[in-house]
Amino acid sequence: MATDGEIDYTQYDRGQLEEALRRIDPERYPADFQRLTAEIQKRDSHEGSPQSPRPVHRTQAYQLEFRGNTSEYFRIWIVNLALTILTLGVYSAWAKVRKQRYFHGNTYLAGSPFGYHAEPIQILKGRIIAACAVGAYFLAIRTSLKATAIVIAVIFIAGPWLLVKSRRFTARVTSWRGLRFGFKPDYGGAYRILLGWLVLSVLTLGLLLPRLTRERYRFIVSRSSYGDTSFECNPGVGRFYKTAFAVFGLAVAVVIALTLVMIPMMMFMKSQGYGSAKTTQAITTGFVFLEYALLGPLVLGYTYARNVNEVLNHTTVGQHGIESKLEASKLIGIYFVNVLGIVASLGLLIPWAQIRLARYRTAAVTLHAAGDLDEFTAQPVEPTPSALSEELSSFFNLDFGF
Amino acid sequence: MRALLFDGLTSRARAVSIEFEMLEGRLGLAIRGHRGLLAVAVSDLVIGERVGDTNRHLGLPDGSSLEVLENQAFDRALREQKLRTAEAPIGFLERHWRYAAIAGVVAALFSAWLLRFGLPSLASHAVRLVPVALDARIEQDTLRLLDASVLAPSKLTQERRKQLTAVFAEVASGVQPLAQPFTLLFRTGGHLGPNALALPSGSVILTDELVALSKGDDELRGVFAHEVGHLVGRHSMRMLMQSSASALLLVGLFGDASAAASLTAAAPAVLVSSAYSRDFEREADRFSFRWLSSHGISPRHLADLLKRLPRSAEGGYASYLATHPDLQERVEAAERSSPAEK
Repeated sequence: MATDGEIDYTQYDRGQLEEALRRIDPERYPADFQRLTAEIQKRDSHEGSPQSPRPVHRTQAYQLEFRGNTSEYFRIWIVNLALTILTLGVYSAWAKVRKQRYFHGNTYLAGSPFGYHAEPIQILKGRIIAACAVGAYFLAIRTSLKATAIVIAVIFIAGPWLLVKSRRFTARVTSWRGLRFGFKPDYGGAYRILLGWLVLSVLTLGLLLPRLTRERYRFIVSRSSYGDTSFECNPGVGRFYKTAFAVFGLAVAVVIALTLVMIPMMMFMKSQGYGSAKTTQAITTGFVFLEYALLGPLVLGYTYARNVNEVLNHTTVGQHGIESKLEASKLIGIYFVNVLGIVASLGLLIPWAQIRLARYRTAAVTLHAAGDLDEFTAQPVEPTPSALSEELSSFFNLDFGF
Repeated sequence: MRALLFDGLTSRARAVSIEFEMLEGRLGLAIRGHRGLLAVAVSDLVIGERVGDTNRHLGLPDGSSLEVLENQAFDRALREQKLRTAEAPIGFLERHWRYAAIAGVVAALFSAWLLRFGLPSLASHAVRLVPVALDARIEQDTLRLLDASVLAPSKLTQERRKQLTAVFAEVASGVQPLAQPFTLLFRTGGHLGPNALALPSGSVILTDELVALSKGDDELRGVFAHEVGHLVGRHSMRMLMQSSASALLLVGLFGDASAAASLTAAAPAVLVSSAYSRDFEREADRFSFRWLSSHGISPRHLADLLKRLPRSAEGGYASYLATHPDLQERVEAAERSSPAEK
């Protein structure tokens, strides 16, 4: 994290100064802010003199846009689901690619859609191996304690490697305007940063977990690239702690509130003569379900919105900045209504839920382009890595962030 | 047709127009508007799939690509040139509500059939491929876990144990054991109360509480036969296989709903598992009734014991979720299979 007063604004060009002025937090970095405004004033007074031509850069905002619609996606979803079931899962690789193509192809930045280029056969191979691994895992955790311990150790040790491999695969098969994304295979960094902070978090009884979250996000974003342009990412540490504490407080508040409703309700039922073990158990079960239905969306929605905002608002691609305006309350609402809708419709509303989530998440992100978006250049061509790691990670539900 | 050409080296888009044309006697794609005419043989062209109304991408041999901006016109051109992409039939199904509706019905019926009949039948065959040594492994760990958490040593006298072991041996004698001989283990049930449990590969745990609740050895013979029924059918291993496979299937069905995944996939998994469990209980009951009848003992003895189980151990509440089939149902099944007694 940058310390206040360290930045040398005299090295900045005019466009960068404007960008910095737009993004700086004057309360957090008062000294930087003062020097920045002074530098801009200095340049303004020189304006018009031939020695300092003002660069033509003007930042332009491009909001991400999702153009998919529910009725179209519903048909795609259900046809592919039926084929997947009828082929006992073999078709799932094709289904996954079609789904990804639909979502990538409907996500537009500056008028151009993203592309998804994974080959279903690649994914199928990965899936078969991953399914065997998951089978072995299930067998292990249900048969022997020793085997379970070994499996868990393997997952932890292979975790960072899997993360790098799977991000690399995902990035390499994603494109925009004919250029592929990339991910730097920094295995050393992955082990040092992810396992390092994990061990420290365990040693401090979880106190450093928000820091681990921040380091994981930072690792993922800052090793990513578009063409040969790297992403840079430097989110604040404090924000992750604030989010973690807030979400913990919210969760506790929900549990307390539900308990405060449940106990008087049970006492009332008892006084009305419905105090049998049956009714008590029914009420408790109902409240446990309610608790899950409330807490899941709350915890996930709040954490996701806050963390992703913090990460993206401190991310740059070349000289372009990113802004994310997810609202925790809206995201929680979407998650909650999605769960209700999916349960009530016995799963039929899954495509509707996915589309409205994608629509909201996409529209929250804006690219502030400082100059031309046509000038990105490609990285030397490399072969696409295997899909195994991606499939392994998604089978084991190792959700690495985005 | 309008399209955008990307050279694959920069992110710059170039507006071009494309058309299928005969070029030097071969069908090719003519690209106009950037450096004059660019011609690519159709055989060198990688025609990307169109999913929904997303724009198609066409890969050119030099690493550049085209984004087609007119889906309808391009589809028509493909049809006219008799060019079909591999996934075109799927796109056709996806565009029509009628096929989507058929797909929905097929998916629902087939997955219901798979869960109810397909997986259980598959597991009953596949279990023969699983070495019995694995059952024995699981048994050791399960017993260790149960002893460490719920169960306590039995307080029955040596004499009573010897007596019960003889009764058990009588029930087990006609049956081919799996990995190891059938063994009866005595424990105090703790919060399991009056109960009998079949471990995966040949051991049956009998709790002191159930011995105390029983009136006469015939009732216990019924219980032993029920547990031996579980063992003979390798119900533990089949349950393990069925519930894993169904969990996988359900995650496939309901699991890709992001945040809601765990909740929406877990609830049906619990329902399905308990349905399987009830099937196995019924199968074990049938085994028991058959054994009792063939030894001239009325199945009512098992029913009598079941009736005496405390309500708390097997309440009538939420019978659909209960691991054991409704008590009443089991008693009726027992009585049905002994009409001579009535």
